[in-house]
Amino acid sequence: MTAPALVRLEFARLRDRRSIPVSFILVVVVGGIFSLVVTGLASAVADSQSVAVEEIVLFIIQRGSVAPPVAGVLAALLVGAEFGDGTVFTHALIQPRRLKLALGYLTGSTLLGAALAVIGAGVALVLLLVIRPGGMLPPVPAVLIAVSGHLILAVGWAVTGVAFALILRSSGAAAALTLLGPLVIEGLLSTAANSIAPWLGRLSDLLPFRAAAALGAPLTPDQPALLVPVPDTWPVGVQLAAFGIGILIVVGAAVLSFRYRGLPQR
Amino acid sequence: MILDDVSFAIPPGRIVALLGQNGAGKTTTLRLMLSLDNGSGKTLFNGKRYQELRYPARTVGVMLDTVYAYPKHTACRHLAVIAAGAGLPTETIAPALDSVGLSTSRGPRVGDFSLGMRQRLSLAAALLGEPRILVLDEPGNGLDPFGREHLSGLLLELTGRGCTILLSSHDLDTTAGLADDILLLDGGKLRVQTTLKEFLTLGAGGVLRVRSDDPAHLAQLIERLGGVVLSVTRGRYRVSGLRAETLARSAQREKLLVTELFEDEARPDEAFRAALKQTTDGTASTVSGAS
Repeated sequence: MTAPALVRLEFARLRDRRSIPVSFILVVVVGGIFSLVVTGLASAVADSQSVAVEEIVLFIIQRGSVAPPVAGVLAALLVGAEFGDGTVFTHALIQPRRLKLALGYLTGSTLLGAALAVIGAGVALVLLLVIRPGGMLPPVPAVLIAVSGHLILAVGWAVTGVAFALILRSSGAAAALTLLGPLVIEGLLSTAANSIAPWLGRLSDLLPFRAAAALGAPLTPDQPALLVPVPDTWPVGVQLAAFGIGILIVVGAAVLSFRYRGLPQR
Repeated sequence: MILDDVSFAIPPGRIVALLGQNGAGKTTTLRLMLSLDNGSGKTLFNGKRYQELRYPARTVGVMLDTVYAYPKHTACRHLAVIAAGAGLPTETIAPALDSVGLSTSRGPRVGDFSLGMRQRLSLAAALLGEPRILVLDEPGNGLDPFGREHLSGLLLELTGRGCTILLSSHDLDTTAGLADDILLLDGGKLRVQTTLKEFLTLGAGGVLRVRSDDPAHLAQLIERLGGVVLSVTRGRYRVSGLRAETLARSAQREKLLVTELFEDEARPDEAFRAALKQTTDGTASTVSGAS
């Protein structure tokens, strides 16, 4: 099964209205949330430059910033569920080349999420037009940078979620690690590193999601920061490279694990 | 090591039963053949490994011992999902469901299926691509007598159309009894590879039906003489691996009154157990037959 086949299969799965799979609801919800945060951010910047932000838009901006970790958890649940239902066997029989299947999971989930995010964006746009009949002001560079940052962070988090699911083969464990790893474990590791030696503490700032803190930086003072801001000790390019390399390592480990381990009996 | 030196070839159009007790390595063999587990050996389907097949579902139909499906889906939807992934047209779904006796209309969800229905659905999934090779893991499990009869008829029909079938079973049941050839696995080793006809005679020349007024003493005597008790019904023992003359003389020597002693033909399940016992005890050498 290649990525397009996986997407076809996922849509075939989702078409069954009676099944109401959890993944369907989550994909739509996270697609909607992400789209809302994107449009909300644009709206917020426009508002900060002109008129006061309506309460509902502020609400969307503040809650919408959780979209990247939700995308990660969703991705972990999507792939972890295949192990839970044992349908990974069905997939492995349809596409017995494991490397292709693993890449199919990674790219298929991304494509599916992106497709649904576009649908969600449309819905969000209509909602915002209803809320603000005057429409949105044109986006400014700061908004585009923020939106791109959130998008990269969401994709990275989602890919990490799929990778954890391929390694752990459990929805719950993968979802927990996807959430706790960046938000808690990296912070604890950094604290421990700082207490050992200052240079080790500096090095810990290059842990993938600590390095990516700038990507999820808030645009407005009212918006809470998603990731704990780190000291500005490394250039942005180095931080982004650390984020990319960290994700590549996790994905590599997942692909190797999936390729060379037998599939578990349900 | 779970499997050791398991090697066999299956000619086209044959039904081959892979037999063995629970834990003998049957499912592991099938998983290795299908690349679900990693091992050092290799299996060729029409000269190609499973991973090398462009459309695996069109060449090899696979039924594992459990149907792996999204529990909220109906049978139709489950097959639609597989067809979508395997690049098969949806027109193949109805014939596959019909052939296993499942309704094509909206029925219960897979999560609510009985074991027998799940088995049927799993078989339907295997038939979806109209493959010429079928690999079936314990296909008779969970089926009622009518279901087994239906399955037997279907398997015979498929072989009549030129299908080659490898099925595993822990017993020589009605389905495995259709086999042309037998592979017997024990402890991860292929102990017997022969035709069904030869396999049924492997149980050391039939069965003795014997009864005594001292059943405990009789049981001890049979064990000492190396016989295999196949079943005990109302004090009547069915024993393989012993000659009637040997048993009668020994009983006489030990002053054991034998009230009944007949020679009988082994039933398929008894032949299976006798052969299994003999191969595990090492009293029977590996037989290589036609397959």
